[in-house]
Amino acid sequence: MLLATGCAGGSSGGKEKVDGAEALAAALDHGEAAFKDGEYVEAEKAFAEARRLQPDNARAVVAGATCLLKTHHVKAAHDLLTSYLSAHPGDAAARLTLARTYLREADFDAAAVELRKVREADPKNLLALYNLGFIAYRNGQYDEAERALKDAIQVRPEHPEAHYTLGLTYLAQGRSAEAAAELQETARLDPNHVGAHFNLARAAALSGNTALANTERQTFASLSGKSKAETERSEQVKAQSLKAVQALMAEDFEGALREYRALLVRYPDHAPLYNDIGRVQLRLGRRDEALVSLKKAAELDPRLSEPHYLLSNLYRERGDQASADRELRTFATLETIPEGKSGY
Amino acid sequence: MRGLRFTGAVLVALAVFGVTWHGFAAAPGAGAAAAAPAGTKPEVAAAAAVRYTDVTKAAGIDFVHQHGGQGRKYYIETTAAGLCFFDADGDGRQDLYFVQSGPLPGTPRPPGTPLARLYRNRGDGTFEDITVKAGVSNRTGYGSGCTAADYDQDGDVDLYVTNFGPSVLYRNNGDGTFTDVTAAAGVRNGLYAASAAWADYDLDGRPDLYVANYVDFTMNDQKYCGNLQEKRRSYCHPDAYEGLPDILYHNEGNGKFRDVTKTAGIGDPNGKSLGVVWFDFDRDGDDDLYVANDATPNVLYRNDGGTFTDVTLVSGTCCSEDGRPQSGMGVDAADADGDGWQDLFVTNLSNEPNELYRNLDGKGPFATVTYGVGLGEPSLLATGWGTGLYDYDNDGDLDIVVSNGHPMDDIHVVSDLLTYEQKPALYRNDGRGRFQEIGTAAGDVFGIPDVGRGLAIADYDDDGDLDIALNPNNRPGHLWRNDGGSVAGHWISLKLVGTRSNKDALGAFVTLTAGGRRQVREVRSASSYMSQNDMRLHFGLGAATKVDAIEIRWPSKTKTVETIGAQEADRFLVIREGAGVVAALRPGEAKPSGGARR
Repeated sequence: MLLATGCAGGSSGGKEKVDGAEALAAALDHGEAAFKDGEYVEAEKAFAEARRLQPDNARAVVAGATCLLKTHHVKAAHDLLTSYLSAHPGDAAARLTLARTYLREADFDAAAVELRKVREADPKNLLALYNLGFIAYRNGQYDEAERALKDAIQVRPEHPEAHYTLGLTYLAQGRSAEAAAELQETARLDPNHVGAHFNLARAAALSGNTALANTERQTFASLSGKSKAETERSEQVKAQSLKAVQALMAEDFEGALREYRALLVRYPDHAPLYNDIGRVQLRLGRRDEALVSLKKAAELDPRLSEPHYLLSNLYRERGDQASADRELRTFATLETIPEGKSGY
Repeated sequence: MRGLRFTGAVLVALAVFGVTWHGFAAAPGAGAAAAAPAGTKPEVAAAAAVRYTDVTKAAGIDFVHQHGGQGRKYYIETTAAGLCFFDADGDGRQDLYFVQSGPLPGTPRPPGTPLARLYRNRGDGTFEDITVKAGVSNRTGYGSGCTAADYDQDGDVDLYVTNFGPSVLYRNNGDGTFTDVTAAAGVRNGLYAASAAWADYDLDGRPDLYVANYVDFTMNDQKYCGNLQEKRRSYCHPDAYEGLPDILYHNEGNGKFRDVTKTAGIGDPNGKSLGVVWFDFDRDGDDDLYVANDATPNVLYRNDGGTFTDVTLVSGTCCSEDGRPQSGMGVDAADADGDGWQDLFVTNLSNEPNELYRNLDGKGPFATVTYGVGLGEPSLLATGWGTGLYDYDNDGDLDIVVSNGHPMDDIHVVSDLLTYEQKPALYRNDGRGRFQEIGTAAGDVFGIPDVGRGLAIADYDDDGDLDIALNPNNRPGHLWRNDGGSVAGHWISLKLVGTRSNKDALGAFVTLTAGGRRQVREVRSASSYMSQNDMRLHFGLGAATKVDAIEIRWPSKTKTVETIGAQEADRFLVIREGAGVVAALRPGEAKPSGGARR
């Protein structure tokens, strides 16, 4: 009986374990899938479920904390990681994530403490080396920054950010030629590295290489914004739409519409103009016309969020709930505040 | 600690981070508003004798800013407002003008509606409200900021108030009253104006006016921002709106102004301008212009003798050290490192540091030195607005003050780290160009979170140290008196009066030598955020009991340099162009009639 009970219990417990293991695996898989899709709230829910099933699950802790950082819950990530690390002080990934959390909290010294612990255990840990170099640079400890960044480059010679930060470190010390060399290496490894071109222009100017400085400034300008043609057109439209803006401020909607339509003759494929016209048409109660204008705006520039919001309202008014929901989803996606978006 | 073990999570971490995540501190993340505990370091202890005291109520100031919001979260509710120190009645004392915003445009304004307020400085530490008599209430405007100068060269200081919608120019009648001359002067603007600043950019002896316009938001263009799923409406990010061109008005000398924006070579139609400062970065005798933009690149225009060249890219002052535009709010220019060249300090949004751009040699390039001098880490979590580079403890170097507060009143819902109300910050210069936030060591006022916006600096009580006034958003205004600054170090204050140059001497560049140290200052109108400081130049002298020499380059076409010999410290000097020192007063001594302006 005892054996049987034990077997039965064991059997039953085994099934629960199997079920538990399956549930855990499912939660982790779901979390990682959601993470890859950028659904961080959903992902964190899944990782939280995984932690409920197995509180010490390292994947659930580290990935969950990362999701919390992505959704601006920095203190929550901090608490999760410190609690976990008190029981698992040797988990390097958790410690690295905690260091990242300290950086988000602007506590560079605390981040460095965590990174040094990782480096002590693994002297070739790239993340620890690079970020220690980065923090030292930020703290104005240029010798220490140079050492750590060179160590990082030794581990991974093709690491663009290590070369970049080393370039900044040299630049801060007035070592323009060395800075230029590192920044050029960064640009070679990552031709679209905005900061590399921006600072290479500075380094070149400081070392008297005017030609390189000019070239790099042009590269920076082209990388950091719209194409020159786009920029010029946008500026032209902007300059010419002032009358429309003034009319709007005076609540002269017909006047604003006239101004925008006049501009449309000159810029027939400028999406924001259609959006502006759609908004004014809404103010004037011309909802059918607004629908056409806003659809055109969304078609010309799928990145414009506002037409989708306004379209959603229009579709809902017409009883087309499916289209309304679709437009609202598109709007919400475009409006999602990414981690680190300025100010948030 | 036992050896670290690497789990499968490392792979997750690497996949998540890529191979670098400092970026979460650089572009985005990071910030700890509070620096090391105050009072623990020697330099903090040294400065502890100087403290700011909130004397608002005792001084008779009862201004409360109102943004007028009723929950619809109109974008304009987030940005205002500024304030200006200037001598409105010509008695030589610094009066104080608070800009009012609400009610929202289109809302009825019955009697009793809050208005802008002009407080006259009585000279005994208190102020009286003279708004109605003066006629500067900006009754119909949704106010942003202000700037003051004697644009018509009649010997009294006039006032320009920026609004969302038509801005207003008040001409000083010389008897304590003002007249709205906007229409005749042609400076209505009519757009969403933020800061404005006077300067005689073409050295013709008449102050011109630069108006920084922000975005194309109108009351009929309210966009939905926030979280739809949670039905939470928030204030929008500036990305939701397009920028607007700024305007440079040339003073024609007949009471009228002319829009010379294009012909002068100033044109940034996409800029979302908030802060502006005129300063002669290359010391060639004419004022250059720097504009802080919100979420678009900042711009530096070099003045080439009346027309301008955009030298932003050459200077590297457009953005972060990684070349990314930030959310420029307020700005000031002064020599932060004591090398004789004026540097730039720009306040930014949370998760971006307030940037210090070091002017290397006036030839063009600036270096972004923010983190290296200790200003990055402590400013990361805060959103900075009003600011000033000034010597709060009279030790001979320039410190930095910043008013803080997030634009979103529900930021705590979005982030568990950021807050709407934030503590102001005072960064003390250690004399070697490194800064430390000293928190409440400079007074309890620095421990009180607020929704900081406009900030202006003046020695309002004429006691030899610099006081601060603030105009927070939708909150009561403040006046903070500096207690101990004039004891901590000697000082001298210079009021310059132009004769060939414009009367305010806007653009005058002063090099002062005392105690073996050279300091530079420039006379300017507005800076900070929508605000204007006392135009007198205040120098902390440390232990020096006298000034050895004062060299003034006057802002006229001849760019005449006038040298003044040794002067006793702890004096208010009035220096008239071509005539030298015409008054030297100790604190408490009666001021010359009319403030020695005429």
